[in-house]
Amino acid sequence: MKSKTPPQEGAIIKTFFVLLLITTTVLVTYSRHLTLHFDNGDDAEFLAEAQQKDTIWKILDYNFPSSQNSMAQSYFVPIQTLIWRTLSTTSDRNPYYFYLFIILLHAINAIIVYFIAKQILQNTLPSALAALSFAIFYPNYHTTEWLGASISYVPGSFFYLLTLLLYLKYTQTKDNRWIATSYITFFIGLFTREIHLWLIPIITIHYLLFIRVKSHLRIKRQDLIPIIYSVLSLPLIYIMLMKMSNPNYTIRSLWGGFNFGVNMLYRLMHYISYMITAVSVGQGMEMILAYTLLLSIPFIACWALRDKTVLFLILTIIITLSVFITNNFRDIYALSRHLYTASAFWFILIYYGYSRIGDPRIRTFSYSLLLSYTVLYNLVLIFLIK
Amino acid sequence: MVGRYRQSLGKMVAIVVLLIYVMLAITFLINYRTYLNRPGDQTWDLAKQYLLNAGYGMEPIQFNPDWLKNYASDWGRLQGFNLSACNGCQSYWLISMVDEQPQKGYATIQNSRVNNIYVNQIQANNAGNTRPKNIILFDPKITISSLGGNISCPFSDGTIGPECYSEDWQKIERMTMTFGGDSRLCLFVHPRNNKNIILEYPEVKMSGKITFSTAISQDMISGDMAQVYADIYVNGEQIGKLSQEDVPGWKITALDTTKYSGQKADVKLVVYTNDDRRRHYCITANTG
Repeated sequence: MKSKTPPQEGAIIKTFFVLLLITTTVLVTYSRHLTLHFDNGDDAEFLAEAQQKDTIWKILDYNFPSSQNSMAQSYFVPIQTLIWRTLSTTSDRNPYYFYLFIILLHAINAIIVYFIAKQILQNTLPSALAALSFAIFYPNYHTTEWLGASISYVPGSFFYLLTLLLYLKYTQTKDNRWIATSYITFFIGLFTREIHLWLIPIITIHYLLFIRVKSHLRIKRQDLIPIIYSVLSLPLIYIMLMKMSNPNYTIRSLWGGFNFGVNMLYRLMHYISYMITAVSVGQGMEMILAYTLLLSIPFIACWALRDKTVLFLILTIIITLSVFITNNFRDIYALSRHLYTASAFWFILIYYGYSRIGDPRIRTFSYSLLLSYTVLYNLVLIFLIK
Repeated sequence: MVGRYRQSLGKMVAIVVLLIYVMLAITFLINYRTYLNRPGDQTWDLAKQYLLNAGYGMEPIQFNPDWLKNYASDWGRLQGFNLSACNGCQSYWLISMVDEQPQKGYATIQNSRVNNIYVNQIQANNAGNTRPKNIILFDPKITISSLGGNISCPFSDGTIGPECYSEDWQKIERMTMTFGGDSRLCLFVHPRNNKNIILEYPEVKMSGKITFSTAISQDMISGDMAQVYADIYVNGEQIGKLSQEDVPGWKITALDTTKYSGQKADVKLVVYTNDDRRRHYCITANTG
């Protein structure tokens, strides 16, 4: 990654306008959600769960004997329950405020994506476009339509992205306050969604690629950085193991358990295809896409081996998606929420690719192509197809 | 000299790696196509219905490719069905994406295409023609009869509609009941006070007997509760009466139907009790 660029005149104003653009776009695009209602399935279950857990101790008690029998008690997600509870009690169960909360948090997530992209790309325009693309990505639009999914994925990704941003800030400034805050957001994030654990390999990969460049085996004090993240995750791992030893654990009893095998690769390919197309495109197109991706792999691998940032972003996308390929075998087009976090890195990767183009003519051509694909295409999907 | 040797060795390794990659990529694409063709929710529902209508009796269900099992067990799709391996079993079902011949020593005795998958019943050659025909798991015509009149209850997707029950225990539905490791797919019919529950199965292919398995849920047994009765009729003629005592385990009762053997006949069950408290009654039957 490049070193920090010197502060430029007007940088604050530029940042202000970028944030204004992202926030306004999200508010305008997503305002239709404000008229939606709770669904009778998971939303009703989460609401009932939040009503039952009327004290902080009940929320934190992972053995709380809930009357709910599926989603709500499958995971230990006290922060989500707290969100449901707080919104229920303060809004008198008015879905408008739930959706408003999600839309605002989604806009904040897009802003975090902008700052992460800025750390990686060191350039305002492609970073802003990457964040904007994440903000209006059609599957993310779908994810935020459903409170049961969005109150899980949007706050979960908030902590996920914020932890990574704070870590990247630390690597840039070496200011211990950044890493301390990153540890705090990491720890809180673990209790928002357990997939937060996947940040450990991502941060470790970043650490090995960019911080601990020399490969001698002598342990250094800075090696504690990724180790502390692992130590912080131990309470959650303990709770997860306790829950999984319970025969009523829904993931195991109803969802068919965790399935490991070669079909995980097909799922991964399918998720990547979905991330590229943003909609279901039919089997023929899926095959063409798979064929193209397989043909591209040797070239992408060569690129990744030469450019550590590409390697980091590709591995981050694969790791962030891979958590969803071991279970839950429904049609992935019904699982757009699983693309929520990964899509942030996907857009950063493609705008990183764009920013590496040297030839100004190809650059201009790519710029219009990318704008059409990442911004116009998704806007068309949202406003015309929806 | 060493440098040139290393260079050509490097090229050879690169070519070999590339060739292996191409082969893996082709294999991947072929299997990916199968993956994209995998059955969706509607197909699984139809396959489940087919299995039940075709007389599924807890035989193991195998899958080809193996990973189809993951989808079959997801979201409780085939919950209650026996998805364990067939180790020397006499009969099993195969759900596959290609119509294939059974392994040596086995023959396909029933096969059907359900959308894009094949559902075949495979039986060992030495098993004889002993395949039981499960009748209770068909979609029955259900009537709840009382002095106040009759209520017809449409039965679909393994259950009756909410218009026919006001409390959960009154819901008539297919379920799995287990006693000492003996799991059976059965129809949960909780009798109701002063009412008869009539289950009608038209045009059942008859053999020499009908074998009924009945039970009361383990946690509802105290030893001194009322019996549950089921009067059995074939073509309007009563051929027997089942009585289920308040004891644990499956009670097997075989009724002689030689008179109707080889014919199609209408089978009717009338389920009732004198006291419906804690009578979580489940019944299944086959014509084998």
